[in-house]
Order: sequence, then structure tokens, then C-alpha cells
Amino acid sequence: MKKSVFFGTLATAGLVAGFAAASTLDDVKARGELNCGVNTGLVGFAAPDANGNWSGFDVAICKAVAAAVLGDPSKVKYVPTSGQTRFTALASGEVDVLARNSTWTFLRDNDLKLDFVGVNYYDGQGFMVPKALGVSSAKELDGATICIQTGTTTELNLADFFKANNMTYQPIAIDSNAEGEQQYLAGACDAYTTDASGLAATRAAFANPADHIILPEIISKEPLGPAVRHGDNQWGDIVRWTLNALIGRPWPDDGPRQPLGKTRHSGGWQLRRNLCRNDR
Amino acid sequence: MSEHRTAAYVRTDMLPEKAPPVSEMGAIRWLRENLFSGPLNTFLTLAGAFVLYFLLSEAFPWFRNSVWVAASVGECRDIITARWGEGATGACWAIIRDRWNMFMFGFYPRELYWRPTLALGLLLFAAAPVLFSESRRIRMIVLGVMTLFLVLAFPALGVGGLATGLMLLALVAMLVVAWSRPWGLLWLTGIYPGLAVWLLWGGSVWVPVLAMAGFVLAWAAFTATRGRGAIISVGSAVAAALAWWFFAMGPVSQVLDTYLPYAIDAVRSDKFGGFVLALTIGVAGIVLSLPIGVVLALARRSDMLLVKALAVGFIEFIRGVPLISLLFVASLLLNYFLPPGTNFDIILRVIIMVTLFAAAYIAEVVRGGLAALPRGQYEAADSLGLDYWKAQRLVVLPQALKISIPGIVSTFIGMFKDTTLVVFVGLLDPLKGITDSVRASFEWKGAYWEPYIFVGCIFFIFNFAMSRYSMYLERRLKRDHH
Amino acid sequence: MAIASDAPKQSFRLSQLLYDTRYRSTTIQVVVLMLFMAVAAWLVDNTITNLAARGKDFNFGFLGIRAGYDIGQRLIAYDSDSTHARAMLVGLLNTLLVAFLGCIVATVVGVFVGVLRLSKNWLVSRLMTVYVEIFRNVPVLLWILIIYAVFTEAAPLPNAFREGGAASMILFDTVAVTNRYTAVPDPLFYRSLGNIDIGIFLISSDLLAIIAAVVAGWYANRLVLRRATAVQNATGLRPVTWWKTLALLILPGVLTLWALGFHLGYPSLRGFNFTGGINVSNSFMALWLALSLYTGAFIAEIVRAGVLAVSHGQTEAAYALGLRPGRTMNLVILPQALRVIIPPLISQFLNLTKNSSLAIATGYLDLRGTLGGITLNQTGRELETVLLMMLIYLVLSLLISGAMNIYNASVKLKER
Repeated sequence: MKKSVFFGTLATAGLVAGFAAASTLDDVKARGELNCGVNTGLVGFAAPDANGNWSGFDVAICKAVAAAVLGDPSKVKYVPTSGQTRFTALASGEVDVLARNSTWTFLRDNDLKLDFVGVNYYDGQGFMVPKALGVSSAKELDGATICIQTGTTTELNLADFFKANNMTYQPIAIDSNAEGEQQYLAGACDAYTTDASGLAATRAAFANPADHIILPEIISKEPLGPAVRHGDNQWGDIVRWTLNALIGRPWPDDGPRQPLGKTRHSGGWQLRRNLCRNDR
Repeated sequence: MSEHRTAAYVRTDMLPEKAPPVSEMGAIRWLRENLFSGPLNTFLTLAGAFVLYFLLSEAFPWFRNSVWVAASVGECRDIITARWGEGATGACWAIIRDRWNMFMFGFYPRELYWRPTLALGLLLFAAAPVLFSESRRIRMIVLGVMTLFLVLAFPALGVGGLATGLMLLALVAMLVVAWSRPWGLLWLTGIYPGLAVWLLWGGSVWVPVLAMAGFVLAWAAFTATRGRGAIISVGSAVAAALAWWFFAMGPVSQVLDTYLPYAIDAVRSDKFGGFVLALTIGVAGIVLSLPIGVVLALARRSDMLLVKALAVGFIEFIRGVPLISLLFVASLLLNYFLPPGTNFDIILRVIIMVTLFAAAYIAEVVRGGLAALPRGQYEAADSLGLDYWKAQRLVVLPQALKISIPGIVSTFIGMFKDTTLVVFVGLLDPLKGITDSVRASFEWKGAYWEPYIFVGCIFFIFNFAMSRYSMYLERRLKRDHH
Repeated sequence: MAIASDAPKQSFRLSQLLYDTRYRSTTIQVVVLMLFMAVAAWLVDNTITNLAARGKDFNFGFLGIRAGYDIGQRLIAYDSDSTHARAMLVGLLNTLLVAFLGCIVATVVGVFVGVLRLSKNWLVSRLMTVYVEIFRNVPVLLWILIIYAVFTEAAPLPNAFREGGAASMILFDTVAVTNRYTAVPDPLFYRSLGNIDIGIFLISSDLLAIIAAVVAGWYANRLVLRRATAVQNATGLRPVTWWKTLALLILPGVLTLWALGFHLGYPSLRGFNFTGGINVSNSFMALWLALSLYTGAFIAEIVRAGVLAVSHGQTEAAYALGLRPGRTMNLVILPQALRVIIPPLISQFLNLTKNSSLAIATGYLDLRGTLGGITLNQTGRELETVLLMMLIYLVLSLLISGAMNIYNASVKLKER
């Protein structure tokens, strides 16, 4: 009994262990595959379908970087990361690039030793309420119960916003977007707050989207963008210019056609267009 | 004779038996004795009946109105409204039907579903010498059912008739072996870990084969140095195995792969999900933790102060912290503790932490088994002049492990349930990971209860069967002792 | 005649370290120690290297900076300007609260179900078996999620409690179960003694006064009982004490409550929400209920096994001695059953405490939610926060098992 057992670990270790070289680029080339950190499931940004095919706005960046470095947009391993594990996954080398709707903040850029290569989505935190509540401004939410996703910058913004406006609220912490939707629809909270993009995606999927409104106040500025480890400038440049190329040509006729063509109808791009009206 | 006849009231024939009073027979008597034997009992019965009625009346319409075929939650609701009228609610099992594969296999490649299925089937064959050695009847039932299941499942999973037939032949051969001797399949137990890893992850056949060769090498080193004392032989066996794995295995497997390339499609860990993931983590955890647990238990009972202190410290530490914090260590901290640049897969990291977690619990179970052995067994071993290792190997452990099996099965049940916690480090467990992922799709938004009930039922069936079997073993072992 | 020569002079050979039983255990221990230290040094060295490579350091200074987030349910004063250390403390108290209340309810449920499972009532014992099996064989995470969903999906909105609304309050209009929180009455005092500031947080003097009164009454009762036993030993007659016991156990607490002007503040609906009572969040209620029911199923089995372990002859012997059923239970059955019940009960309490970290599924901010959740994420100090969190859980577990072991020692069979 005892003998047979270590075997499994070692075999698995042999299969999956890898040793990172000094340069991320060499590493990725040697591996023949890009490890890309994405959201565990946020429609529009990154979500797997029934067959495990990922699609979304952030996924497009992974595919574009893979196309730029390896010449094949399909050579991506998507590593789903939670709000808590994402930066550690990047710092430890588990992923080469983190494309997970992460906000570019001073603290993260400096203390966490990350480099955000640019902004691919300029987001802001908003509120969604049922129309029936009769609220038309976030300033009227005094005393309300608010659903909020933990492990993000949103809880800090929310606390500051209510403090600055001298209002009180009752936070209900939730773990995932799916949980938040369920709580909100069941009426367990008066308002749901997260990035405006997330609110729009969530609302669009409701049975009756017209019954809910996104309040006009955007209480924070959330520049989202892909991040890489600090210190590897060559790799940072590659991701930065892949991103720039994508931004310069949102609907490309050349370049990495395959990935972008695929994601065009995935909701992420449309979302972006819709939201431009909202938050600018 | 005649005198007797004159007596007026002497009865010469038996009266027919009268039926007992109605209140003392049949259903009424049963009711009186079991349900209404006193005021308290009557109250309890009524309360119980009320609770039962309440639960059933709430749940029954929902189950009765079930919809099995639909493309989305909205369609389910339309069907229910059309069939049962406005305001009726019902279960939408179509979500399970639609995403069955995801719940079972995660994102495992569809054409390779037979591999995890076969690994699961062989698991019971491999476990037979250990778990089902007690009773031939149970062994044959379990293995027979498994064979039937595999034979039925294979064509459904798209495996050709020839391959299914070959597998059936192999399984029947193993059934025959298992019929004749309980220990006949021990060779399968030996190679199963490698086989399972190969089936699940795929890739070159040489990696598992060579990894297993390390154990053969260790055994060879152990036998070669046997005359020189236990410490030397154990030490050399460990050194030989480690040297093989760390230095020789890589080059040798490369050479073999070049000249004798034999590989099946590799499947990456990020494709694992659903019950395949839960079972992989659960089984790997329990199998890997057994030897560590036994060593820890022996260490905890050791006379050597330092060894004992280390074992106690480790066991109490692991048992004192929640599994979820150990999973956080796996996902957040393990990369800090290992040499810079080491980076392996999150499933493997989780398996490592789950193994350590289970090892501490197994150690306590085995310690119980060791303590339950009569003192005379230890003394008898000593009086035969056996040294420590021989006494443990030949006398103590076989008996102690045997009486620990029910406890080990309970630990396994607990661990299998705990595999659901891996969702919090970003893995797709069947309970929350897959469910959230399915519910994030536009079609199945709002289906809340059905996935939970479905996943709960599967867990219940697995665990209930295992717990019943462990109780059966416990009873049987108890009888053996008297 | 050969004179027995002296034993050959002991010359120490290296091989003795391995083969001589006098030295062998020392050798093994030294080797084990060296291996252990080597592994520990290797891990620490790796950690230092890795930290340096990522430009991080290892210090707990982050505990002193502003946390910046709010916590829905808190036992002590806290707002977003408080420090991370205080957020951690709030989380720890939340963990303790749910663990403590959970252990109590789980024990009550467990004893109740365990006894009912042994009842001769066919229906009830079957129902209890079904409950135990269903709860034991399904992951606790599922129960937490399901009970949480029951609260949010099945309970009415606070709005529904308005005049003419669909919902009504329960327990004589004192408790309202809504889909956000459960509003319960708030204990208030007209003549409150105020709070004592112990530096970190405030402690209600009223609570302390009540506890002191109850403990004093309980202690006085023990004195009375001891006295009665002494009288019984001397005279053979036991004085009647039940009314004294009753008075001593109940009166001090009641009198203190009266003296402090105790009354309940009932919740009532104002604006969006209930006010006037305490709003206990559903994330807490769901976690508490789920943990209690789950652990209760395990405790039921333990209780059942404990009662079954006491042989029937014990009961018969007690009856033969003329003991009444109540005394038989108290003096004969329970002490023996407890001996079997306590050790596994300890590990169930520990399990419940550790499982309370699954608060993550309901968003109840316990220790893992604050220190190991939001604080970790905001400061990016995963090494410090996770280690600190594990340390706290470990200390908590050791304290619980230590306390329970002391109790176990007091009921254990005293062997002479």
C-alpha cells in the first residue's frame, strides 16, 4: 500500500512542474503557451461556455498576446483567478499576464510590484436599483441595504462615498457576481454596486431589464487594464503594444484576426460601446 | 364412560380459537405500540406527522411540476405555466440535462470522457483487496455492478465496440481472480496510482512507469542491504528512490520517449472540474495521506521524545486550522515556500495541502487502532525477539490498520465533502464552481435550487453508501474480535 | 583456574551509533532534528529569497493603517476609519459569536435528536434517522448555501410588514424574519450602569452585573446543596432544598434585571427598514443555522452511541437500589454516558469552529472575511495575513480543546 502511493504525486509533478527562466518571453516561447490570468466568470470580460471555450473582452487580450508571441491565438492556458488570488498568481509566475478587469491603482502599481501596461477599459463604480424603489440618484440611498462584492476596490469607494455624503448604509457582502445577482433579484438588498460595466452586463441578462435602472452617479474612476510583473520590461512592452494595437484598431482587418473576430460578438465590445454613453 | 356422559357441562371438544380483540392485533396494535403508546408519544407522532405533511405539501407540487426538456429557464417557466396554470412553480431539471457533462467532467475533452470513467471503475477493482477482502459476496456485487456500469457507459461515451469488448474481457478476468482470492488483485492496487494518473492526465506512458520504477528500485535497495539493520536498509531505499526520481528519471524518460514513443492525449489540469475534480482530489488525498498518516501515528507513539514532539506538533497544527486556510496556503503561500521559479499546477498544490490535512486525521484514526490492539500483541512480538520495524510490519500494523478501516472510510467521506471548498481558490468544484459557472450563462440564470439539489443527491448517494459499508465493516470486525 | 577477566574495555566504535540500542535512539533523533532543521531552514530561505525577489518585506505594520471598508455586523465600535487590526478584532469576535452560539444550538439539537432517535416511536425515530443521514452525508457548504437561499428567497421583504402587507411578525409581534435580516428585540435598561472601557472595546456593565448575580446565586446554591448533603450524612435525612435551589438560581438574575430597569426595545418598520430592535443579518443567521444543524446531526450520533454504551443492567441496578428515574438518569446513566460522549463532542465543537470559516459563502465577515479576505486583498500582504489568521485559529482550537479536556478530566473515570 505504502509503496504505491507516492507514485501519483511524482508522476504528476513530473508532468506539470516547470522551472521559470529569467525572461518571461523566453519562458513563454519555450512553453509554447501563454498562461493568462482571467476572471472566474464575468460575462463580457471572461467566461467559459459549456465546452470550456473562453470568450470576452479580457480573453481577447490573452489571445492577441499569444498571437503576437507565438503566432497562434489558441495557445493560451486560461487560469481563472479570484479577486484574492489574482496578484499572487501574477507575482509568483503562475500566470504571465493578468487580464482580469483589475483596477490600476497607485498601491497596486507600487506596493504589489506590478506594472499595468495600459487601460483597456475605463470603468467606474455605479449603483443599480429596481425602478420600483423610486430612487433616481445615489444621494437618496441613505439607510439603504447595499450588496457589494468583497475583495475589490468597490468596498473602499462605497465606504468613502457614503461618508463623504454623510449617509449610512447596511453592506451585504457577497462572494461572486452570480451570488450578487441572486441576492439583488430576491430583494435582499435595495441596491447592487459594482463596476458600471458589470452592472450593465448583469442587467442585460435579467428577465426584465427595464425594471432596473443604473443610477447616474459614478462614484469612482476605475481604469482597468492588463498587468505584468514589475521588472521585465521586454515582456511589458510586448503586452503594452499588443494592447495599443488592439485599441488603435478595435475591429481589425488584419493582424490577429481570429481571436478578435471571435470576440466581436461576445458582448464585451458591445458592452463597451453601450457604456461609453453612460459613463462619460 | 356412561358416567361421564351424564355430567352436563363437560365439553369434549376444543372450542375454536377466538380472534384477539381488534385493538390487540394487526395494524391497530402496531399503531398503538409504536405511535400512540402514551400522551408524550402521541404528541410526538402528531408533531412528526405535521412536519412531514408540511415538508411534503410544500415540496411535492414543485417536484410534480418538473420539466425535463427545455432550452432555458424561461422556456421551463413557460412550459410550467402552460401545463399547470398561472402562478405554478416547478423544478427545471432541464438544466441538469443540458449541462450534465459539465457537472460530471468539467471541461474535460468530450471524446476522452471514457478515461476518467475507466479510472473510476478500476478504482473499485484496485480497492477490492483492501476494502472488500472481508466478504466475497460484497466484493462480487460491487465489482459486478462496476463492470456492468462500464460496459454500458462505454458505448454511450463513444468508445468503439472492439475496445469495449476487450475491456469487458479484462474486467471479467479480474472478476474471476477476485472471486477466487481476495488478495488476487493486489497487483492492480500496486499499479493503480500510476494507471489512474496516466488515464486522467494522459501524456507519455513512460513518466508513470518510470516513477513507479522508483519504488521497485527502493525495494531492491532495501533487500540488498537487509542484513545491515533496519536504519541502513530504510535509508538506502529512500536514498535510491530519491536519486532515481530527481536525477535519473528525467533523462531516461526522454530517451525512452525518443525511441519508444507511446503516449495518449495529454489533458491539462485546468480542464478538470465537476465530480472528476472532486473525486481526483479526494482519492489522491486519501491514498497519499495513508502512508504519511501511518508514519505520523507511529511517530506519535514513539518513545523518542523529539520524534514524538514533532509528530504531535504537526498533527495538532493541521487539526487546529480550517481546511480553507490551508487551501489559501496552497494558492497564495506555497509559491513563497518553494525555491524561486518553481511553479506547479494549482490542482497539485491543492492535493498536497489536502494530503497533509488528511494525513493528520488518518494519523489519529490509526493511533486509535494502535491503542485498541491488546497489549499482549506487542508483548508477544517483543518476546519473539522481533525488532521494532519487524514487530510493526508483521504483527502490529496489519491488525491495527484492519480495525482502522472504518475510521479511514469516515475520514475519506469527510474529505470528499471538503473537496467542495476548492472553489474558494478558483477551481471548478461541482457544488459552487460549476453551478455558478452554469448559472452565469444567459439561458440558465435564475435556476437556483435544481443544481444544488442535484449535486447534493450525488454527494449523498456516494457518502451514504460508503458510510453504510464502513458501519458494516465495523460490525463485522467487532464480531471477529470476540 | 582462569579468573574471569574484566569485561573488554569499552572502546566506542562508530557503528555502535547504529546498532547499539543505547545510542540508536539518540542517533535517530539527532538525524531527525537535523533533517527537520534543514527543511525548515530551506523553507525560510526560500521565503526570504522570494520576498526579496518581489520587493516585499515581512512586517505587520499594515495592521496599524486605516482599513477603509465597512463591516455590516459588528459587536464593537468600528467604522471605515478604524485600523486593519480593529477590523481583524471585529472579525475574530464575529467568528467567536457564531462558533459559540453554534456550539450551543448544535448541542441542544444533537441531544434532542439523539434521544428521539432512540425513542420507541416508529415515526419520530425514522424521521430523526432521515435528518441525521441527510445532514451528515452532504457537504456543509451546500447546507450553508441552501439555508442562505431559503432566507433570501422565501422570507418576505421588510416592506411586506407594512399595515396590510402579506407578512406578519412572529412570537407575539417581537421578531420579524425578512429576507435581509431578522429583527429581534433589543435588551434595554432604564437605569443602565453604562459601559466599562477596557481600552480596546467597551463592555456593558449591565451584562457584567447580571452575570455576577447569576454566578453568585449558582455558587450559593452549591453551598446549600453541600450543606444538605452534610446534614444527610449526619442524620440520614435530607432537608428539602428544591425551593431554595429554585430561588437561588432564578431570583438573583431577575432581581438584577428589575433593578436595572430591564425592558425590550421592539423592532418596528420605519422607512426602508426595521428599527428599534437588533437587526441580525441573514448571512449570520444562515451560517449559524446551517452549522448548528450540520454539527447537530453528528452530535446526535455521538449522544445515541453514548446512551447505548451504558448497559441496561445499570438502569435496572439503579431501580433495584430504589432510585427514582430522574436520579437514575442524573447519578447513574449520565455520568457514564458523558464519559463516552465528551471526547468526540470536543472534536465536533472544534469542527464547528473551523467550519465557521465557510462564512465566505454567505459574506458574513468573520476572521477569514476581514483579516484573510478584505485586508489581505487591500494590502497585498498574503504571507502575513494568512499566517496570522492560521495562528489565531490554532490558538482558538487549542483553547477550546484545552477547556473541554479539563471538563473531560472532571467527568472521567477516576481509576485508583
